Amino acid sequence: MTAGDDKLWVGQVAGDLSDTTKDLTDYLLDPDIDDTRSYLFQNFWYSQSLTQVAFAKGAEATTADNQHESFSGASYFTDGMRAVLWISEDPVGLDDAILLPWEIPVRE
Amino acid sequence: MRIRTVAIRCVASLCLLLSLLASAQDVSTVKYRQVPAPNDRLHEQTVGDVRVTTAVPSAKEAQEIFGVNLYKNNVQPVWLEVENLGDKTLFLLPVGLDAAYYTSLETANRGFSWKAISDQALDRKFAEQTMGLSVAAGSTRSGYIFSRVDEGTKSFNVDVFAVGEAEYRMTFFVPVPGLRLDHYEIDVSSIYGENEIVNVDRDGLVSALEAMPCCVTDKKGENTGDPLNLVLIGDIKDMHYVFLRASWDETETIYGGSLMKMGVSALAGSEYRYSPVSALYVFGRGQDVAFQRTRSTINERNHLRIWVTPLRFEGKPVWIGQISRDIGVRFTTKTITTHKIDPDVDETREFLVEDLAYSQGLRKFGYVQGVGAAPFGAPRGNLTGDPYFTDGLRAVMWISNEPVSISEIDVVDLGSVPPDSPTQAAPQ
Repeated sequence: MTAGDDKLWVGQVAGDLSDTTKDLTDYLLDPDIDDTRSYLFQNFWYSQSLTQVAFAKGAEATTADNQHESFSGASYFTDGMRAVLWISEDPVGLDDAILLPWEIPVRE
Repeated sequence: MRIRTVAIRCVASLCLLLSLLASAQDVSTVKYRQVPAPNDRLHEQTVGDVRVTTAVPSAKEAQEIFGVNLYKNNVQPVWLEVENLGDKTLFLLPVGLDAAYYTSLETANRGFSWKAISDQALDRKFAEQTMGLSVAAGSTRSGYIFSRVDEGTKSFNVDVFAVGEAEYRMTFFVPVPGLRLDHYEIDVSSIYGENEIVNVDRDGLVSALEAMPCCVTDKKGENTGDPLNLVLIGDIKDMHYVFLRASWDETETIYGGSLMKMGVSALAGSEYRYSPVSALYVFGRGQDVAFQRTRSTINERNHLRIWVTPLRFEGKPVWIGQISRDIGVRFTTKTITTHKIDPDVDETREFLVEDLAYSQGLRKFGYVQGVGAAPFGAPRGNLTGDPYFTDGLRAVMWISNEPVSISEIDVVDLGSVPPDSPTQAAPQ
């Protein structure tokens, strides 16, 4: 899939809470995976690599009280949004990145 | 503040679609769960359609609110309330407040050895009090961002972006009970009388800077020390915003209690981001402002001191200063402990240029003479006897109050360029 001349990548980001391991083979995943997604887009934004950012529906939403489980047994919850990042090879100023009004992730 | 419209970037049809979507998103206010302020020491700023109120709980207050000792685990909660007075959704980016902020569940799991992994009540307490990212039009949202502990005045930026391309930037200085005051307001206009101010053009700037003293002195002005190898042009509030964004910390001038703490900290190798710096002198007075940037330990920190000069360039104050990098600590008879500096002071100067460039705080830069070259084979000494060598140049940096991408920075010809090798003097 391409968008204009650009390739479209889909991916996954997760953060480890600590070095604490549950079963010695898996790190403890931060179950609030949306927080990790937020960090990622801010990280790109502040390192001058982002021309546009938007949010789109796509994953299945769930709550902290009804968490999903990954195949390795890690629990997580999410608003179901995907962050869409337009990555730039040329540096982009902090105030030149554009927030597109597709979906606004709002969690209560 | 700079506001641009999406239209600049979009073709007309896409813009129409976006504006329809925007109006669909932004019509209604949202009633968020509000988190009460931790105390009544509120600080408020309004920029355009955005009002931000903040308060920072002390260690004791944080313990009472969250039931755990956050400060001991290097977590300092910052309470924020964002009022969106406009008609576009706002996004608050915590990275602007602290590039290494903690997420709520990371905080809940941070170093509390007694905490069971399954302590969902604690997880929930933090999650519910965390500030959300978005604030709908016409709405107010409050909560905490979990930052690293500042050992003095809590100094931070709040960066808020609107859907589209509007940006709102603010800098807060919040004193916290139990922590030392180390931010002092400087009234630049009170340092020089109106008849002492000299407005200069490019050539006047170069000749005035090259005529300034080569180096700092001791209090009596008898002995010279570190070279005055940097010049900054900009207002003090822009300076604070830019240095905070580049992860520098304001620091205070040395005094007894801090000296003891620094001694312990440096020898133990632990982090003490706010250890004060000693007073050095230019124009007969100690530094007006000092910043430092720590790596993993106090032994590896860059520190800079700046003094405002009577010069004004295009209406902006011109500052002269000194930057050096500590690469170790040693005992002296004068100050008990002092830091051994990297003798290649030019490399440290270039680090600052690059650091401000990457953090988008640099509009343009160039080089002037003024320090006097000290070759690699014949180094000079600073006030505590550390040797240094230099190409003799001063880096002149125009600080920007608006973010500048690295490809937009101008290199200004001020008549001098650094040599290719640190063992050479700068070509005249």
